[in-house]
Amino acid sequence: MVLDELVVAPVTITPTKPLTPTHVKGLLWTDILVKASATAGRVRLLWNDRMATLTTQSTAFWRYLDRVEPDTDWSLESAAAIGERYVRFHSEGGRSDPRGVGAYLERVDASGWIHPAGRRVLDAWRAELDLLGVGDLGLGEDRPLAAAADTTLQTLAERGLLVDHRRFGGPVHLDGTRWGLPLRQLVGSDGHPNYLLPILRELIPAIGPGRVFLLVFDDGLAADYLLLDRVLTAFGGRSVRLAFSRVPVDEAVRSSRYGGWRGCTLSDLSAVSGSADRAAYRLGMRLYFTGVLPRRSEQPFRMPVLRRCVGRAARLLTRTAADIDGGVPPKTLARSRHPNGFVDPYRLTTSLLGPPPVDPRLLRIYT
Amino acid sequence: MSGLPAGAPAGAAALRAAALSRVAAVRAGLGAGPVPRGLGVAVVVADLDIAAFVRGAAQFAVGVPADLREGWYRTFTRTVFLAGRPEAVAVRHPHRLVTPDGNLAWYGPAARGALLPLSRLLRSFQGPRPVEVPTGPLTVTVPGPPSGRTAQVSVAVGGVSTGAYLVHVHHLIAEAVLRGLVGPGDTLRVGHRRSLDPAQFHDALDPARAGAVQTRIAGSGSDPDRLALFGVLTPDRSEGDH
Repeated sequence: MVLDELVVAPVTITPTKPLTPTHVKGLLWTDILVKASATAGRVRLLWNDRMATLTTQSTAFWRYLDRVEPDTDWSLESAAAIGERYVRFHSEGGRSDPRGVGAYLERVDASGWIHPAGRRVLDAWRAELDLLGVGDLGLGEDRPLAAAADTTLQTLAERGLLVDHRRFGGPVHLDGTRWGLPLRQLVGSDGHPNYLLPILRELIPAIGPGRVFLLVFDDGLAADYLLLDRVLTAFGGRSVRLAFSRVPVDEAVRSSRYGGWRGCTLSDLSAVSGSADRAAYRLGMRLYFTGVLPRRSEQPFRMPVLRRCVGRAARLLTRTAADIDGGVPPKTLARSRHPNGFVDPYRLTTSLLGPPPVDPRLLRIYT
Repeated sequence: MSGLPAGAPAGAAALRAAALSRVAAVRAGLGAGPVPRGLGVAVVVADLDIAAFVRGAAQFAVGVPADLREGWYRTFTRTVFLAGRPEAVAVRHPHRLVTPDGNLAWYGPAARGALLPLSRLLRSFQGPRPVEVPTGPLTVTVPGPPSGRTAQVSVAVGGVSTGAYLVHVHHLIAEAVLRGLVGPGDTLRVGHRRSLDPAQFHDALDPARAGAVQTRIAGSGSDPDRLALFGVLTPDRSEGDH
């Protein structure tokens, strides 16, 4: 397939908790995929913090924080401490008064407002992602979504893709039943959209000739992303889906809203490099998360294996000749190409796990 | 009688008596044949036009094949309302009837399992907001050669949600048709009122007249234990008999 432009839409992560191994896996995959594919074609990362902040997952939590801790100075709290409150919020039912949440959603949509606790989490992520070498991807960008909510709902209705029962006080559903996919709620009876609407608001206007969306998602959301894929196709878009399994911590496969990340957050992992330098940390993390952990296997996170990867990275780097500028070596690139045109990070990374020497042009992507 | 609110004992007793006579009528069934297994109906709702809904409910019930009527009647015309677009599901789930605007479609009567795939594909209709009905009287003609017969239909809408309205009116019309009170070509004169006072429908609630009248009595929205009158359908006796 000849690609004019690959638009990579990664998993959205709400700034309500520290980054966990599941997030790190998705981010590193995205990082290598974008950087390696960019050496052979046009690639753009479609990231907008608004897709994660304009959700009830974020705003209901923020509403809760303002109710239970109105006087906390969030700039003094760590992402892990804020994440513990997120877990507590969900253990208490994960609900806030709909009207209060509605006001927060309006504020986020109108002005890009982010709660101080959310800002604190985003700042903490940024520092960690810079250290990891993914800070230059464009993560952290925030701008108004490409289309207004009403515009997008109208557009969907005109295509016969909506069941809109707001006039009866009911919800709005995305209708993919023509493809045999069940109705999926987009806006609740309380008037609050779920996470799919911001994604549609951002992606539908981005559809263009020669453009292919690469939808990166957590495989627990496979049904939603299949529907998203069909909807984009109905508007003349092309998309490829790339599912990721979660990385269980302590043998438990859970959403981060249940916590269980103690000792395994990205800031904990960055301490793993020990005496190794930054390049070894970056390479070692990539070897582990994109070369050792298969994309769709629920292999649990194993700190000793990560440590070994960082050690191996340090040895690889000392044995590699001086830095040479250039893209991915053509042969390696050809071997790592996914049938849909992008470079498959798993194939590319496993090429690094063979016997040395390693082509230094390849290492540039990994460090 | 205990449990009845003060101030309306006569009305409450009348409602209770009428409700019990309906239950007895349904248990007795439509005919003398063997008791078939229970059947249900699904209605898919994309949008709601009241006249189209009333007409569709009557037309659907009129068109229910003879061998399925008893099975549906004996489940008290059990019907689920689903949010969806009939056109989008038409290939996989052919309807028995769809309204001309394409916004309402009927499926069944069928055993519960047969309607399950449709229910799984769609979602329950949610309409908590008070129903919006035409301000003036509504005249609806049941499809068929003109019969010259009319029936008065009174429906309470004060405090009635859209979802509850669909349930009340559908039972009222469907049961009336299955019992032969309404037939093809009949004219229904539908009047929506804030509430229906049992005292004003004294005749209709009289168990002695139950065979000639259809009522819809259910727990009131605010107090499910208190019965209220939501609908009355009375064929005009002067214009012939079925």
